[in-house]
Amino acid sequence: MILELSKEQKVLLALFRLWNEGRKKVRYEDVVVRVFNDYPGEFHLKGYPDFPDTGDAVHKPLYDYRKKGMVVASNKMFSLTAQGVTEAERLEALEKGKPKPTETRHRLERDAQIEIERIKHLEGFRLFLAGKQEDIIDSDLFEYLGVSVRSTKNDFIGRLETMKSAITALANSGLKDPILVASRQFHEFLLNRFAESIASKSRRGAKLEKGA
Amino acid sequence: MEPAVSIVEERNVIDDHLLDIIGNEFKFSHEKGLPEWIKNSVDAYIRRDPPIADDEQYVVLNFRDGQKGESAIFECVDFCGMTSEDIDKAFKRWGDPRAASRGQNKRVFGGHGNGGKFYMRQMFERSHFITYQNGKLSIFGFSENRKYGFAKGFKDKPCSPSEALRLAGISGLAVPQAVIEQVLKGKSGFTVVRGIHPSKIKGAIAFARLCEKVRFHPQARKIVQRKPIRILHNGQLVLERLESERVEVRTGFENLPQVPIPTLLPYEEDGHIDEIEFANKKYPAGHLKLMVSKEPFGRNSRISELNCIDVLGEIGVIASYRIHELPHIKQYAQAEFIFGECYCPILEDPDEDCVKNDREKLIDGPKSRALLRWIAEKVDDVGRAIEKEEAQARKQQNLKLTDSFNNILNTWKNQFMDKVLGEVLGGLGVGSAVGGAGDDGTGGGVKPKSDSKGGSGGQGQGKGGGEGDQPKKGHQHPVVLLSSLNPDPFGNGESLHLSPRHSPVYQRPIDVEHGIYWINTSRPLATAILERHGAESPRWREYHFQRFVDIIVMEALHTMEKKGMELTFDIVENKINDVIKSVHDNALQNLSPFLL
Repeated sequence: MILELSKEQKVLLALFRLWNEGRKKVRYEDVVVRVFNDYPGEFHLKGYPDFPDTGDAVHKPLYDYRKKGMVVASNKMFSLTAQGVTEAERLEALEKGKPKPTETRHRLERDAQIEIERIKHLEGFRLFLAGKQEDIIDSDLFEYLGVSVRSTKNDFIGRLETMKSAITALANSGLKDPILVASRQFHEFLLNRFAESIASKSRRGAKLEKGA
Repeated sequence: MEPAVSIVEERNVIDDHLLDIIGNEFKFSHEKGLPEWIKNSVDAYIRRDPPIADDEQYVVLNFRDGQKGESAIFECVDFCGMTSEDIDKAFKRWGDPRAASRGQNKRVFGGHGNGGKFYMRQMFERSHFITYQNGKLSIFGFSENRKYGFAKGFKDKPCSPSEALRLAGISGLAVPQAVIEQVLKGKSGFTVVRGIHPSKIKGAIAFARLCEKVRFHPQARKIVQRKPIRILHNGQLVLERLESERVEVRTGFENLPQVPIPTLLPYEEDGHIDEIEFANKKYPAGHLKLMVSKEPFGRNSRISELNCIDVLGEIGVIASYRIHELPHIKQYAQAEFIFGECYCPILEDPDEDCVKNDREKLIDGPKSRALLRWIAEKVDDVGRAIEKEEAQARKQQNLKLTDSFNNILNTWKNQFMDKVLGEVLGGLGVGSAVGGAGDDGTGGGVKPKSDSKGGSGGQGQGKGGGEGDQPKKGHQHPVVLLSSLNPDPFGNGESLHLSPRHSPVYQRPIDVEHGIYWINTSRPLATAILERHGAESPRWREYHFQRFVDIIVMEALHTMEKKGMELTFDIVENKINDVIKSVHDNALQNLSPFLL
């Protein structure tokens, strides 16, 4: 059975197709054109079926995916995160009517694997494993999320969602490796220890988002 | 086959020569002997019933200079008195630890019952005491031959109080009249211990120096703190009360907790470790109380004698160790500030008595060594705390010195940074990363919308800004502050203290919004340079300057990102090199006096 994707999903697929062509950073205008070419009936300018819609039909989904940690945006240039690539590949398979991926239990998706591997090499995680929780500082949170203190609110939220998603995938996998279990505990520890900073950073800098 | 042997026990026959042997072991000096007399006097007050308040336990030391035909004399007077029975049953007995308490269940300072007697015997040509109690006067003393006995006709001689005072030569003694009244009313007695022709003293007695030594002596220090000890010279009052030395305690170390002595302490010798008992049912666990002086005690002054640990028994000091005498002390420099006392009653356990006759040091053995090693560890612990505090103080001092250079660097940076970034990056079209001046920006730039706070066209800068306690958004230039020194603009006046793990240049989200950078002075390299070379060294200034370079490079990177420049490696490398070249050239021109 071929599933009909939502308009948002089609925007992500358009970005994915451009990304697959080797363009790691894609201009907004290119996404607009590509999604119009792929799905002209849904992405034309109202009343002008031969012209693409350059407004919210494309803009909003891209920024929504950014908040989910699947898209990175800067100066109206867009790229996909590992999580975004995984999601786009899943959508493409769905669109082509390919069967659902096999049971993910006891294995991790590639994007989650990348994140878990990254966690293992963090200095903060090593301190956590050594029981030196008191030595863990706010910089460890930023490093864990893969952002900097200057990251915009939406990038911050996006990375937070990505890590939550990776940890959820880890939990669902049922894998019992002690390091993987500790990764989950480390995630919970950071979110609790720095709850205030996370809330503050998630609220902060809304003005900076404009035009990003 | 061995015959059955049963010894019929007899009293020991001891030659007086043994007293010479023991007496010589005391290695007496007058500052060591006088505390023995003082302790005996205080014990006499402690034995009195009803008890006498500390402030009324008068002990008088009277020093009479030698004159032509007359020997110098030391006297120690208290207002208690003894009977001939006390003398026979207690004073005359050598080496009886029960002598000082007279069988009473009271804690007294006297230990082995030898010190005062040996001092009389060893350190004076002749000595005696005149004692009066219950209307009877006795004189007992040592002859020139160092043999003791009652003076002829003065054993329990019936005598009126006034006559007794006159005979003892203390009728007009400079003590409160009420004290003499008590004697005259028969409510108290007195004892005058008198040493005639003291060893090594002829003519004038250097009594002030002697008293100074006495008040620092471990056996007298505690008594001097609590009891009124008067000093007379040739019968004239010269000091109403001998005062103990008051040590001002170092700020931050006022109330160090008492450290309980563990019930068992390890003792290692020849690779074998024993556990030695320091508390049992009979002797409770002791404790160590350490204190830290504001000033170091030094090595050679009189006050350096307080740089010690007094070991206390049931009552009074049973040994005293200068800090540097403790074994394996590591924190030598800091130990010069430390003093204290260790209460350890089990050391007086007769089965394992660790107390020496002269109470200067403990009897050497596994128990005393184990205790001293443990004390040394605790002293080192406090020493390390002092060292840490000293390092903090040095760091604060260094940071204060570096603050002025930081101001110079901030001013220097503000003067050229926009220009350099503009030249190198091709115009600050969207405003610097720290924001322009808010709404007053004149817009423009390469993008239709500025994503910074406000903006400025080309290399122009936004107008506006303002003043206030806290930096406002739109501040023209980044402000560089020093952690652990400069007040946190978003705190309560305290500085921001960073961990050694924080990056050398640090920002919180709120700092980013307001263009504030912190140089982390807790970074190990920063700490090491400040510790070893100080804040005014070229090494520190170089380190400090490089952090400014870091900040300018970061600003350049953010500006490039905001300008929408493609950040390929080649572009970034070239631009960063250009920025650094400009910064270095400008520094050479404007900062030479500080950097070179």
